[in-house]
Amino acid sequence: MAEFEKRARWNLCVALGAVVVFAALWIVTRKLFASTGAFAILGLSGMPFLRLRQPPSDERDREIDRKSMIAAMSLFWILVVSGAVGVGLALGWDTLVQVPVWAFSVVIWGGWIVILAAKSAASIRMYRAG
Amino acid sequence: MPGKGEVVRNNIRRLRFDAGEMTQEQLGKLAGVTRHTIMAIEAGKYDPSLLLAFRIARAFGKNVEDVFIFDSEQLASITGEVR
Repeated sequence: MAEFEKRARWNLCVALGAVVVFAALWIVTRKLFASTGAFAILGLSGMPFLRLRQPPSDERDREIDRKSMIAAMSLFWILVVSGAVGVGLALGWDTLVQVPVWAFSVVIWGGWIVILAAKSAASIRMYRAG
Repeated sequence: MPGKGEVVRNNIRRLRFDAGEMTQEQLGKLAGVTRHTIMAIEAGKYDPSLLLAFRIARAFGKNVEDVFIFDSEQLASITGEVR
């Protein structure tokens, strides 16, 4: 298995792990703001960069990296646009809402999880396909 | 990244055999890529850049056309092009 495929698998596990721990903390504590601590797990996605000797990348690795980033950002963009329009349509464009601070935190971390997971999944798929 | 229905075929496996059973790892080192990339090219799943194609050909001491074969009939069958 290529080094960068291993890295993609690791990142996918980190992203899914963060979601699982977030859900578990929510179920146990019943407090969403406390559950946001689970997102600290996402820091583990930086682990492969701690290696002193980084694996060499070649043109195929770079092409897969570029294409998987485009796939991830496309999905993220669709979610951002649907979310922005969906909230307006569902609640009404002039409605005033009070949102707790943890909700911002969840949205930002959630966005990062989507990008990380989608990029990793796309990379794995492309490495498998050739 | 499949090679567009294998429009570009290659003789890498045979050339490695002719070069004294050169391993994919050795060829990768000569061409400046990983063994996985050589594997993908050899299997027709990845089309290398022109630069890499030249590097691979040079590793065998051959011309690019001796290593990579453009299959125009296959291309025509994919695109529906009438020749």
